[in-house]
Amino acid sequence: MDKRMTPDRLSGLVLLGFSILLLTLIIPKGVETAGGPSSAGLGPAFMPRLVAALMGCLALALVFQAGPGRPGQAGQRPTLFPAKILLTILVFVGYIIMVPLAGYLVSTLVFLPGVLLFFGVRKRRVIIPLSIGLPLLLYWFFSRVMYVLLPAGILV
Amino acid sequence: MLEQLLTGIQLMLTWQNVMFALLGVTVGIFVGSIPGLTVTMAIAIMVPITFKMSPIPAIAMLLGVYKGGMFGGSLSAILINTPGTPAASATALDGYPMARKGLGLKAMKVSKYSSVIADTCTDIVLIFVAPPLALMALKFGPAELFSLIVFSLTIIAAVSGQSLLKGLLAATLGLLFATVGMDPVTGDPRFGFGHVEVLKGIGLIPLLIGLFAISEILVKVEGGLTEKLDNTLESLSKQAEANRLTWKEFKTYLPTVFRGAALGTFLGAIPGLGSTVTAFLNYGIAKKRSGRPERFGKGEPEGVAAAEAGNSAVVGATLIPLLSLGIPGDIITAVLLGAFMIQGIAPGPTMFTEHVNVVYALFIGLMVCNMGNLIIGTFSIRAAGNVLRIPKKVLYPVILTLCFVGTYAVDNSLFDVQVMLFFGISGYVLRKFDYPLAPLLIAFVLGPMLENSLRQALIISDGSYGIFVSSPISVVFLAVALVTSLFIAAKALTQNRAGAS
Repeated sequence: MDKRMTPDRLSGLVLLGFSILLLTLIIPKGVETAGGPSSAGLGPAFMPRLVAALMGCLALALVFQAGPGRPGQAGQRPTLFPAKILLTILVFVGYIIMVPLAGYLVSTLVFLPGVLLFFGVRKRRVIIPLSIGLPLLLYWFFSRVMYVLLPAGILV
Repeated sequence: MLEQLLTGIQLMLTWQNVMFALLGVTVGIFVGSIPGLTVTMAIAIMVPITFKMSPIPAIAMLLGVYKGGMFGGSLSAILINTPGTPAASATALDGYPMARKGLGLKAMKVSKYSSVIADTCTDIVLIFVAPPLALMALKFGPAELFSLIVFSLTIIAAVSGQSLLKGLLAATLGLLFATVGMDPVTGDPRFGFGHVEVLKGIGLIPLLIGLFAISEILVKVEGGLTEKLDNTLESLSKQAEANRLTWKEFKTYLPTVFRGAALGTFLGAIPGLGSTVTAFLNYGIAKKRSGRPERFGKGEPEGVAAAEAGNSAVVGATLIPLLSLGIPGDIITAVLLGAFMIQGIAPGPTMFTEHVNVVYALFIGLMVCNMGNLIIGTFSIRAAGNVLRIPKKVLYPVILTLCFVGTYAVDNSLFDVQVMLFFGISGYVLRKFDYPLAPLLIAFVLGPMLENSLRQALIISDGSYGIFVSSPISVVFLAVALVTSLFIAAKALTQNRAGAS
């Protein structure tokens, strides 16, 4: 990795690239204008383009401000998504996928003790009452008091 | 006016009305303190309960939920860096560092007193100057509103982190996210790419919870959820002496509190700006005027006082456009508007003639709710302090579960939960690169209004940008924003050169 790539320079370049991508691809494809390009003026694409252009200018300024970096500065680049974080995210994604299938209550009865164990809680007198009590309490509160229709699941 | 006030006191101060007001405050503090539950949700759920009630206790109870919620949001912001309300994000900037030093109790006391004092001040102002203030707010056209928002965003970007550029970049991200959904003028879809759920736009709650709760948990998980820190916090928080708040000390924060009250009164009267902007603005001004700006963001009690005074002062002021013009100042007052209509009262200019007794009774009700915050807040603080004793490895799974169901409950939408996770991951990445999250949130909240006012101004001026310099109010805001940016940029450049040499 380039020793001159400081964290600020890296993030500036990423945002600069993102703003260019916005202006050239994402906005033209993603913003529909009913009147066609001729009515673009102050139309739906105006604000996104303005913001993207502003982002590009600021990102460029950050790249120049950050400079090429001094020796050793690249070592300060933050590490992203170590295993613990990836697993936490995956567990939460699994929960989101499970809820419409198994229903909110069943999914939470599985998710909560799983996460407690994953985070290092080992005391059964904490895990068991919390894993059973909290999902039931939340289910009762949101569905019976707040009248929120929690997913019942298609498997249950 | 004196006669009307006395009639209002007589109407409001019955045990039933006071009881309902205090009930509202209790519910508000409870709901506001739990990330994932919103004050808007609580008020919306309680509106049907008011069907059978008469106007005064009904509206007083809902106002109690509003006021209690604004204070309650600060409790979770201070204790676990997860604001219960968007406006409490500013409180977390110094409140959470104070809690990490074992001064969580003190932070909550500062929050409570600042909140109550600023709220009371602004309620007094509301009573005496509501009509002329409403007239002044009418003078703000699209160009003035646009300039004010640009000024606000610049200040917020400048004070929220170490780098103005990063703050402004975070703000542009917020503005970009705010454009997702449907164009507010033409209704054309933006960035939907064929997905129907995206058309409703990105919800504030999923973004807020993702950015501030989920990303916080991810950062903490990466750091390791050790028990050692908790033991340290527990032992320090038992030091009563360290958590004492003397009148001598609090007196030094009063100028900041009163300034927050003044700012909240003025800005709250302008529809749409809301408590979040005022909280950050007052925080920024307090930091600039402080003799110790370097202590802000590291556990400075004055920072907590500034944020809480700013956000609480808006509550009374947002009622100005609602009561005098019938225009809701924010989402919560929009729900309150519905509650008024249910009671057969149409907020607007005629309200001060046809229902003047109800109006003044509600003014007194606001004071009762402030007292409620003071008394019930004291008990809430004691209860909230126990949160510090819960190990993080137990607390965070609970918070994750609450975040899921709280986000889902907003719109019965799993899409919102997915959005929450997206912003949680984005917030984590932004934090790792030292990007402040507050400007992103504020810009997201103000984005639609910024866009509307910009486009309206340009339509009025036939596309000429000169409209922004033709109004003195607009010129002042833009000039201050520019000068502030240049000043901070010059300061940063000087520091960079000094560091390099």
